[in-house]
Amino acid sequence: MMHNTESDSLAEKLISLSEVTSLTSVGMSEKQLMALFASKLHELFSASAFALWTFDKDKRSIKLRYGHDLSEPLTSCCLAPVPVEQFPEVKLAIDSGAVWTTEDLNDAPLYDDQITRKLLTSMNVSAVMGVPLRALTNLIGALSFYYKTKQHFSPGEKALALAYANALALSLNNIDSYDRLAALEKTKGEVIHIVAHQFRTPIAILRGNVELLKDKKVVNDPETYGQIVSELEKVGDKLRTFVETFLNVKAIDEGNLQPKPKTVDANTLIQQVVRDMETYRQNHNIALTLTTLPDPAMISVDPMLVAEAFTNVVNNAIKYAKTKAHIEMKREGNEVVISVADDGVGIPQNEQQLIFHKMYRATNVARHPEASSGLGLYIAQRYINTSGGRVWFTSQGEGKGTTFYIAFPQQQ
Amino acid sequence: MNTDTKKQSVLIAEDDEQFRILLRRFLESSYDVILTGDGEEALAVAREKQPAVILTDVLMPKKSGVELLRDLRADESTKNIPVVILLATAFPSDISAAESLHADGILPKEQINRQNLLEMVAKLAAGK
Repeated sequence: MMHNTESDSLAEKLISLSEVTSLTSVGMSEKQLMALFASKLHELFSASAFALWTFDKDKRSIKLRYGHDLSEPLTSCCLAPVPVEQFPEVKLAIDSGAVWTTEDLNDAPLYDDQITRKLLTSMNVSAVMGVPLRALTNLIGALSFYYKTKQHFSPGEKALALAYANALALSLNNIDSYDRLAALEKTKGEVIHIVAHQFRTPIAILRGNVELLKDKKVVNDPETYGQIVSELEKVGDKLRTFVETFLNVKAIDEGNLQPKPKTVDANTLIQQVVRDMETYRQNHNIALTLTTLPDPAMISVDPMLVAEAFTNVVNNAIKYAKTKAHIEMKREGNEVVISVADDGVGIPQNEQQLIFHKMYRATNVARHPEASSGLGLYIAQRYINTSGGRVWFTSQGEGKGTTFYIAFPQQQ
Repeated sequence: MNTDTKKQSVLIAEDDEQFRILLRRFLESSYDVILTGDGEEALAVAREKQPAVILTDVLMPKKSGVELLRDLRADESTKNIPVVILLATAFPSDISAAESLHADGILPKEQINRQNLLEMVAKLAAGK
């Protein structure tokens, strides 16, 4: 049973903890949040230091996300992932989902591992408490409290530690959610910018040509009149394509894409795409070569979707090439493989895994003279996958060109 | 040849073919219009032809309009040619770059019509 004095002290500490949580706010950085919680450490606990561990990708290893008054060896060892077994209090708190304590480190065989003991000795640690970190129902890691003297942990102190950890985990979770929302908001702003850019020129062309059509001289000149009407048709098509692109992304996101497969010759499809891009290629002064297969390469795909996917990949190759791009078709096993290689800016190694993400633009092309919505490769990948194909790429890094590969099962 | 009747030339740097043609139609009754599709080509033509006015898009292959303006200003033979930036973007950095490089005019693309374009070009060409 808890004595009154201990109970009063615990109540005061809980009030103090609630003050901390009331001071957290959206938009607060993780550093500010951690400093706020750390400022109450000594008031709430007799611990001299604490470590906040979060899971690495696989949940078998942990990383030090924040440390307060830790020794240098401990800090430097654990910023990279370490096996969770390295810190028994973390492993046991995570496994049991409850607070786990070692009151005297000298009498704890679990800490016999030499590396662990050396790290803890570097801070003169005598007792340890591990507390699971749970944000709502999601276990995100654990807190370690380190004490310089042997301890007897009362149920009240353990409960307080759990409340502290829960409050901290929830605040961290809120900060992460806020950061994700803020990043999304930023992306949304950029996309609105790009969309506005993509619509502005066609609108200007539309308005300008309509103005010309009001000119009597133009009305009386059938040739010029016909040319202007043709310009209006082209710009109408351009605007329709933009709108369709955005609606297609919406359809992909909502799982409403309904391909209509047909058996077609991949040679014909790619030749048509290359023909349609001729003006774009000329404007970029890029040498584009195409090697097709000598005989029909039949694939079963939705030709509209796959033509758009090819167009997006070839468009990128022309846009980012320095001088040339080459498209080559091959048979590999039972697949028809189309490679699209350019000698352009390449894709930075550390961004390669993001390249098919929606609205992602690699940093080395983010301010490329031509605006891009970051939707082309996203759409291409989805259309190719929906049609039973695969798409991947190789790039040796920045400035070393990129080769995209698109493969479909060959039909007999 | 009577030089008084010779039209002045206007150089257009614009990668969108349709927009290039539209600008030519707006201007061709009063000026010799030279069309280029990127900033690099425009710079070379400007040096060679010495146009009265240059109209340039911002986002173009090879050399952007802002880079073109910078290079024109840095070249003794082209530094005094008036340059109008045609904006289809609202990137504040492009606007401020155009201003800091002393573009002679900035025209948002969707606001361009034959009258305001001819007026701006006439004013700049007269001042050359």
